Amino acid sequence: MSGVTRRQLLLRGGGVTIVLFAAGAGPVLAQELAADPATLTAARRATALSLLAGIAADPGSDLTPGAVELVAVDFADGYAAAPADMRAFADATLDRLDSEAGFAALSPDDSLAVLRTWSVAGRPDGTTGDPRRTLAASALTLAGLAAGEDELRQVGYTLQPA
Amino acid sequence: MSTVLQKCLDITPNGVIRPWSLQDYRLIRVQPWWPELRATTSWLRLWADWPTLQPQREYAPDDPRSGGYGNLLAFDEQIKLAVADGLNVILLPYRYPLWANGTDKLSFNSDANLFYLPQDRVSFATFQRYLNAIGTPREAAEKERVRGAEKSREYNTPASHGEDSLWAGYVDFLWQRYVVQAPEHGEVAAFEVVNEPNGQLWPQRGPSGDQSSWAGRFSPVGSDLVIHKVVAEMMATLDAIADHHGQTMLCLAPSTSDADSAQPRITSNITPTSYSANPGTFVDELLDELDRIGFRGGPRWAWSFHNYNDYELNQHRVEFLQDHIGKRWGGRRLNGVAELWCTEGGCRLTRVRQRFGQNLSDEQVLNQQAEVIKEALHRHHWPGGEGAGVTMLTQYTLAADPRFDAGLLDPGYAHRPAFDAWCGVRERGAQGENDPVEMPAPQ
Repeated sequence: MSGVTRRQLLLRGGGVTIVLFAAGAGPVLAQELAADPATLTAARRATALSLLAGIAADPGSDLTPGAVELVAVDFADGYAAAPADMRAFADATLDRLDSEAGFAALSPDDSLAVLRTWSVAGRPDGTTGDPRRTLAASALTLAGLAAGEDELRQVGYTLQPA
Repeated sequence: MSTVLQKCLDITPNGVIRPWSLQDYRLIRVQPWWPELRATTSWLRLWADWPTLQPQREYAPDDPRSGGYGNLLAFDEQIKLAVADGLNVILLPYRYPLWANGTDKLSFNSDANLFYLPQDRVSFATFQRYLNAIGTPREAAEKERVRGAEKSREYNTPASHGEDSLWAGYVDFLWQRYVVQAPEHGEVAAFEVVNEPNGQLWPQRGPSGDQSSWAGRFSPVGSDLVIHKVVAEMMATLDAIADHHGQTMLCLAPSTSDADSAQPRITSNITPTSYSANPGTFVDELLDELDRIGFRGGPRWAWSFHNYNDYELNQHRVEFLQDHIGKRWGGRRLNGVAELWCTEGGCRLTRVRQRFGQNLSDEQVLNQQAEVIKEALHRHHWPGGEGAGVTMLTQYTLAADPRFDAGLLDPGYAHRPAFDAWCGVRERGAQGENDPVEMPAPQ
């Protein structure tokens, strides 16, 4: 990736990247990114950022709003270092977040509201679960990719009830 | 693994914390691949996460007004279904609600939390980077790094685990629900006291002898181990609860992490080994404390431990553990040594690369993970060496965890060769059939 490192690109934020692509300012760069399966696409990066911002909007979570951009960069690094099947899981989860709730465009408060709503969808007991619960749980689990391998295996991000 | 070969699956606390997550047993058991795994696995380890099941102090977990009541019902169902499927369930109480350990006064994003015993929660290197960044453009980022790296408040041990403690009340609730009142709410086969107290819980040690600076406070010099006393008290309390209810169920402890740490304020190594220059005194000091409080063990109790290093790297740390337990442990014995229940283990993909080469392709790593699993199961299945006394091995995670990728399947349930490797080794023997209790002679 000539001239601009992936980290520098990520630090500039997803929105800036989208503008660059839209203006045709970086066709070579775009091709390189598209060809690199270890690089989050701009759309997925934006969804991941919104997911992390939603978690941070919960005052009971172990993530502060001030740390979201930092952790988003870590997330992209964790994604790049992950095996292909982990990246495929991340892609599928982020794509579903966006297709089912337009996640990338949500404000942090709206993102949190969606996660909370999905986390209590349907009944917790019973013989079949609501798939939105599964998706919310997968999203919270996936967000932990930012932290890298945790030898202590602590519980990752959790949300407080609304 | 002695001549017994029992296999256990640990599906993490997520099934309780986030019902209908991919770690929820109800979702696992209806997958098309489940029967193949069930056919060669007879134990399931489930986590009774206290902050989830009793988020408010004023409501008992089984009070419908409790914010965790739905999670409790979901947990009941998972236990009942597991038992109906023929699995033996190991239950462990996990973590502390913030109201139970007093950290509810420390909001996560406050400086009060950040500076609350950082020496017991994060490495000095991480903390020092923040100290060095104060007044620079990096200050805010390094502060967030410390905040994110500190051990969570839910792992801070409360002042007491004695018979009158809040913890004892929670454990008694679990015992009543899943032992005394079983099978109405689900029936467990074994109770494990705690998870990895020598790694997750804090503080591990008392104050450093040097309080004159941050560097001094982070030093272990002049400090004493304290976490072993917490564990001994937990064991005595669970023993008293079992006595009170007149039950003879299997109890497991201390569920140690096998982490090899050079930071004794963060992680206490369990014993010295030839693999490491880092000392470890946890086991010796725990046995000393159990002796001091008069804990005898007996046939109700078996020793539990975790064995990632042995499993992944073909090491023999378990033999050092047996050397230190020796005849001092008054619990169950097998093969002439302590009966050991390995309640966590597995093979991380990162450790495959560490052992076999960083340049392996993803496909090669997954294939090699499968080979390591077969190797670990087979080499523990004899009554000598690393297999002596080991009565069960556990696979930590079915669906891979992004933060600790040892999964038999990928994080979305897709196939990995590791799944076939685990299922390809059948269990032999069963609990109670071929584990004659060889109790040490009374002292």
